[in-house]
Amino acid sequence: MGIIDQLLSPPGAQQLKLGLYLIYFMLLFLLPYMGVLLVTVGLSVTLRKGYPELARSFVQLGFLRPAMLVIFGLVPLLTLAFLLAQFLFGAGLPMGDYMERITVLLAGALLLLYAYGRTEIQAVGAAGVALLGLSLFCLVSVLDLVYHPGMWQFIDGPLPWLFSWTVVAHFALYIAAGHFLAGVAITFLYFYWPEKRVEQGSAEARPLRFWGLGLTLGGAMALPPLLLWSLVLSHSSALTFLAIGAGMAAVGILFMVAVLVVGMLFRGDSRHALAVLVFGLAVMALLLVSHQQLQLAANREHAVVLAMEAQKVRSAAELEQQLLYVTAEPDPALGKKLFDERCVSCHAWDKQVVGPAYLEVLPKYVSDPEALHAFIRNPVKINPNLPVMPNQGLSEREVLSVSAYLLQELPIIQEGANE
Amino acid sequence: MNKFIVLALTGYFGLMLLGFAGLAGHWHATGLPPVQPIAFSHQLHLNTVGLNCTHCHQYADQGKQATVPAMSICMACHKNVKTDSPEIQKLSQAWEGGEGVEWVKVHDLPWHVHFTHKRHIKAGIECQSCHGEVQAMEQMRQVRSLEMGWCVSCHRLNAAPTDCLTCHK
Repeated sequence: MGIIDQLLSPPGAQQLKLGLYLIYFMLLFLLPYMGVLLVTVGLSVTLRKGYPELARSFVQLGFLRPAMLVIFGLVPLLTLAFLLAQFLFGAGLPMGDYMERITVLLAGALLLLYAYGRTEIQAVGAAGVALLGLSLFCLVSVLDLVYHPGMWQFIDGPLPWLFSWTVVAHFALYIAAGHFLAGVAITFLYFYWPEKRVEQGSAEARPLRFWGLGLTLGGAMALPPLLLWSLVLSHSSALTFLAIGAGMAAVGILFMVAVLVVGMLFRGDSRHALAVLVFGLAVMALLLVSHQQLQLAANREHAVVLAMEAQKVRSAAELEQQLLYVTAEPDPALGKKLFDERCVSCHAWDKQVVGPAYLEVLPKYVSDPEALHAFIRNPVKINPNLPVMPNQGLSEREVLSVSAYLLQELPIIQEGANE
Repeated sequence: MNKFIVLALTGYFGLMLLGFAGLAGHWHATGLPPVQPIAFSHQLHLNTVGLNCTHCHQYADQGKQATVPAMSICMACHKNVKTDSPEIQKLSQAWEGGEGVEWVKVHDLPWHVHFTHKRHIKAGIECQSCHGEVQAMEQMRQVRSLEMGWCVSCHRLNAAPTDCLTCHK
């Protein structure tokens, strides 16, 4: 453990912005897939004893193929592990460590589910579903750390999980979305997709239609209150009109889905299977837009703070690097660079700007450069009529360099002024 | 299809939409940062210029109130800095006319709470713990509830006194 953390380096502000979008892109693969997997295999395990045929059809949807498990499961998860750890670099969180633990849990869960698909042993499936549920709860907890910087310090213990209402609300929302998507997938694959299509009037069609449409309807009914709950729990500074508006649009489309599904249940057909899939995907897109808005707003300010932390780490590393080759000798060229960048915005040689004229204040330091170093390191108020100079946060070498440059220039400027 | 079921569905989803609208209304009324008379940016002054909080809020570590900075503090720099900006001109006009700037108070505690900034800063609490990441805010806004439960939870965490008389004199 700790492998990921060792591979990271401090990110810049632009990378942080890009990181959020990449995190979103990976979640787009991972979360819907895991939700559908959890619900379909969960149902299959539950129905294994009484309805073995039905249990088999839920496993044979195609989501348990090794290629699917790797492409939609492990690859996005590992990418996310790096992206999240990189995004929260400087937050003082062992994010890479959390994600390593989740990866181990999730890989174990996927292996058990795969074994269940091959062997159909109920206990293996049950263990796989339980482990998958646990690792998804941990994943939701860790993702919530990105949404809620206020909770950064609260994970403790071997499992990276977090019990707060926000995490519970997000997990419930996620499980409801999993049911909805599983229903949509069952309806679409068994009643529309040519390869898997079952005959409308056949004996296996009835329970499949019942479960597919039932899950879709249940998910569609459960999603709106849970989405509203998760928005209510978000901090007011993270809310935006787009986040609420996308939620409202999702509710509108869910209403249409519910009406279509109830119609199909009553008539005993599945003529709108394609429409339900399209609407279902639209709902997922709107949920993502809504949550992406929340996340961007929640991180607007923290991205600046994280970038500052990363900058500190980077400067410390650079300084360490420099010290390997040079001692803290003053370098007037560096001094001139700092002077041009920082000093001249408030100081001039011959007149008071924001700070006093150098020709007035510098001569007293000629015999005592150490006092000038001390002042630059930690400025104090000297002239009560002027604002105190801000601390520039310079390194020791920079302090020595800029004072060397000032004291070296002073006699030249004085000569020019006297002429 | 049964009309009753369609009606029930319409009612249920309509109710949900009303809930969302209610949330939007409540958030619009309470959650947006107040508009200040001058577009002052904390982000610019703290992050870009590199000032400390106490550079302007001079009494934060010395007294009960952190205090809104006196205009002379603004003018000490802005007599010379960015004088052509229209926002700074609002400031200098008020200064020359002997008027104040009517800032909107963002963090307001009720009268029955006795709170001192000095004590909290002396105890090593960062300004950001209560005021949020001010160095990244363009527009100042309240990010913590400042409700009693919030105060008490932090007091417990830091083993600070929690009897009533600590805050209610």
